[in-house]
Amino acid sequence: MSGILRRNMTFYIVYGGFFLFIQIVMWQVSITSISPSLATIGSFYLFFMVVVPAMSAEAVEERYSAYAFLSTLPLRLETVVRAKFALPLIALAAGVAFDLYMFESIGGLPPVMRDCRNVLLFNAAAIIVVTGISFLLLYRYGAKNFLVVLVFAGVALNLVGVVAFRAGLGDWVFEWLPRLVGGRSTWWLLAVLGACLVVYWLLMMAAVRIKRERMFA
Amino acid sequence: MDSVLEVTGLTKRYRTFTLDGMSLEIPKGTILGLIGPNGAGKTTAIRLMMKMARPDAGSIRIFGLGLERDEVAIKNRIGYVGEEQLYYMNKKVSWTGRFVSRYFERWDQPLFDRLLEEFDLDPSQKVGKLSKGMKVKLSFAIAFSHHPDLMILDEPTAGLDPVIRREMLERLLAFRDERDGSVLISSHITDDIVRIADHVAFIVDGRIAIHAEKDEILSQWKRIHFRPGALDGALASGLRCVEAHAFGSTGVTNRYGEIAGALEGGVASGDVKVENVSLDDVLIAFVRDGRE
Repeated sequence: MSGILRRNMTFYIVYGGFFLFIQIVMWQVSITSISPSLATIGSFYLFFMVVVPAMSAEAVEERYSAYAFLSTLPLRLETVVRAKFALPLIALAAGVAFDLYMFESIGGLPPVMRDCRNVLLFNAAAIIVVTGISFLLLYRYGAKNFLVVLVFAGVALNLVGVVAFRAGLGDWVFEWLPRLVGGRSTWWLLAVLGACLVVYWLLMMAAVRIKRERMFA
Repeated sequence: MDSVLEVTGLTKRYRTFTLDGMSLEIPKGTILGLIGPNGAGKTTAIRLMMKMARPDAGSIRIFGLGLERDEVAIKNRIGYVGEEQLYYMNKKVSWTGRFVSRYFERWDQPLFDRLLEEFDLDPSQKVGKLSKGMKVKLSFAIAFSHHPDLMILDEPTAGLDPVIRREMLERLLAFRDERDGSVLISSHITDDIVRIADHVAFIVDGRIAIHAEKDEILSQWKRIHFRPGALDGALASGLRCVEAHAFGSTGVTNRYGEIAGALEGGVASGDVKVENVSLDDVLIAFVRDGRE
C-alpha cells in the first residue's frame, strides 16, 4: 500500500501546495477579521486540495493502464482502491487543520469562531461524499469521460453563480451555509462528519465492486 | 510429481470467444509450452491464472492454494512477463524496481541491479524510452528478482530479435535446472517451445486439443508420404490433413505407434516415406481439423 500512497501523494502535494499557498496569501494579506462567509470561501479551497488531485491521479493511472500493471503484483484490488480512498482523507485532514489554525490565529468572538468551525466541518463532510461519488463515477465511466463531465459541471456551476449574483442573490450564495449550520453545536457537525465517513466507506466498497467488474469484464 | 499449477474446467465467455473448460497442470520443475494460433485463448487463460480476469467456471490452484483466497501469497511466488509491458512509462527503470520491490516479500535488490547490468538496462532511463526488447528485459529482470517458484510468460518473445530471444530462453532453462523452477510459457513461435518445453499443450478455439510430454507428441506424430495407389482406406482413417498431389498423397498422423506395423511393407518397398513433424505441423493439423 505504501508504494501506491507515495506515488499518488505527489499529486496532492502539487495541487495542495498550490492552493495552500493561495489560501495563505488570502488569509494573511487580505483578511483581518473572520466571519462564517469568509470561512465558506476558505473551505471551498479544500475541494481543490482533495477532489482535484484525486481525480487527476486517477486520470494518469488510467493513461498508464496502472491497474492492469498493479494486478500483476502481489496486491489485492481492494488494497489498491483503499489506498486511493485513504489519500483524500489525509489531504482533507491536513487542509482542515490548516484552516482551523488560520481561524485561531486571526481570532474572533466565540460564537463567530464556532460558526466558522461548523462551516468548515460541514464543507469537509460534503467534500468527503463528493470525493467518494467522484471515484465511483470515474471507475464506472473512465477518467476521460468523467473529467469532461467535471469540466462542464464546473462551468455550469459558475454560470449559475453569475446568474445568482446578477439577480441580487450574492449574499444568499455566501450566507446559506452559515445560516444552515450557524448556531449548531460542534458535536452535531462532528456527527454529520462521522455519517459522511460511513457513506465514504460504503462508496469505497461499491468502488471496489465497480472496478473489479470493469477490470474483469 | 507435485503440481505447482492445476487448472480444471476453466471457462470464460466473451461475446465473440469462449475459453471452454480448459484443464492442465504443470509438474514442479518442468516447463509447459502453451501453443496456439492467435486468438486461440492463450492470453485469456493466462489472464485468468493471474487473476486479471474472472472465470465463469472452473478452478485454478497454484502451489496448492486457491487464487481467490490466497492471491497475494501466490503472486509473491510468481514471476510474470506479459505480452504487453505495462509500467509507469514516465518513470525511470530504477524507480520501477523500487516501486515493485515494496510488494514482493523475497525481493532481491542486488540481484535486480545485477540483472539490469547484464541486460544492458540503464537504471536512469525512463521506461517509456526503452525499446520493446528492452522493456521485455526489464520484465524479466523484475520477474527473476523476487526469486519466483513459477514463471508465467505470455508470448514473451514475440517481436524480440533472435539474440535476446535466445538469451531469455536460456535463462528460463537455467531457472528450471538450477532452481527447480516451473514455467508456463505461451507462444505461437513453436521453435521457442521445442527448444525449452518438457510438456506441451495445444489450445485451439478455446479448447485444449492435446496436453502431453513434448517428446511423446513428437514420437507419435509423423508425416507420411504415399506413392500413388499406396494409401488404402484403412490407413487413410488414421491420417489427418491428407493432401493428394502429383506424386501421391501426404498426411499426418498422431497414431504412429498403432499404424507403424501396417506401414512396414510400404516403407521397405519405398512406396511409403515417414518423416518427423514439427510442432508447427501439429498445430496446423489441429487448426485444419477444426475448420474441416
